[in-house]
Amino acid sequence: MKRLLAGLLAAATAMLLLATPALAHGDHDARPLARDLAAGPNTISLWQVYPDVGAAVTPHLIVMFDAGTTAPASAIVTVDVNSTSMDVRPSTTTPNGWETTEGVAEGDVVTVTISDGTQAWALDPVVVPPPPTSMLPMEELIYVSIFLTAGTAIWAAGRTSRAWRRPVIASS
Amino acid sequence: MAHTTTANDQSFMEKLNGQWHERALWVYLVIVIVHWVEHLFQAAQIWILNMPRPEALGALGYLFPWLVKSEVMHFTYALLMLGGLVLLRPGFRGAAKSWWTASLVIQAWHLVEHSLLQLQAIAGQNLFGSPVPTSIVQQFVPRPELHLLYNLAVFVPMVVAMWLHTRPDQAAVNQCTCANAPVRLEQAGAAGA
Repeated sequence: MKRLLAGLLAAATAMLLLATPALAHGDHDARPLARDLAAGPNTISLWQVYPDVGAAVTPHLIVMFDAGTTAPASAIVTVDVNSTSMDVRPSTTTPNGWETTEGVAEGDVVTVTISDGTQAWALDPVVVPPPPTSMLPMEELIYVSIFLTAGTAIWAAGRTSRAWRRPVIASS
Repeated sequence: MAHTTTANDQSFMEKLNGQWHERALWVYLVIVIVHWVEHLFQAAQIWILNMPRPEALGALGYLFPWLVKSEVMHFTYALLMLGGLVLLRPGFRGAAKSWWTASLVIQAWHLVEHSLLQLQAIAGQNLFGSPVPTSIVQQFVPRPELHLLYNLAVFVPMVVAMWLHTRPDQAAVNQCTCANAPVRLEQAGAAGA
């Protein structure tokens, strides 16, 4: 048992020490808009994810090359949103993806074109769906949780002060 | 023949679940409440104040945004939380122990999910073809909802366990002072506490 616990502790410590500085997109979800799209030799998927900076109120679009861990060096990615060209750059957080520098909103029509310099493949337009709604009544759940937490905090404060008034005596 | 254990003979675990249990338990609960309030604050920003998710950073997240974004921090807290549930469990008895164990099991799964996120951050490869680290249940429930629910599902049985454990009728079965009657101020002063 002690060996198992020591092993688990060592594994957890290693996971902490090995972790590279977090470059992931905060604690946000990535939402797939379209997957397994064929663009010549490439398989593409389109995702939406919030950027790390707080300025954008709509999530960015990520054009992901599904095969391999990096986007092909020769790939040129262009994105049009509602027929207007949008600035796209290699994603700093997703090595095999390109990312728009602005967000795309519900109802926007996104058209992606992939080119290798000699040939270009235009993907079918994708309409950004509405954001997913929660399955739970979140507002009510939060109010109940706040009430429960406030009650627990008051109870804990009283019991903590009681615990510190009591002398610690070794049990026999 | 009766066997008597003196304080010096006791192991760390015996002391933690005996003479130190009461103080350790309340310190632990205070830490849990502070973390839980941060999650609640962020949830209120998203679902009550309708703030954009990148701006919903909780209270401390406004001052230290990396607190929300750092997977290392979330993983470390989940690990410490599980450690507390394991270390303090032997001091519980009866129904209180069952509730505490329920909380421990849910937290163990919560840690598995955080470990998956952490491993993806280390490996640079994400599950399910996602551009960001993702966990298993996250495929069905969005992440802020999911981790709010995980923390709530750990918090509620933990509080129930503590309430059961500290009821006056438990004083006879507990090895600790958690359920003992309060010490009056003059008594505490006389004892030098």
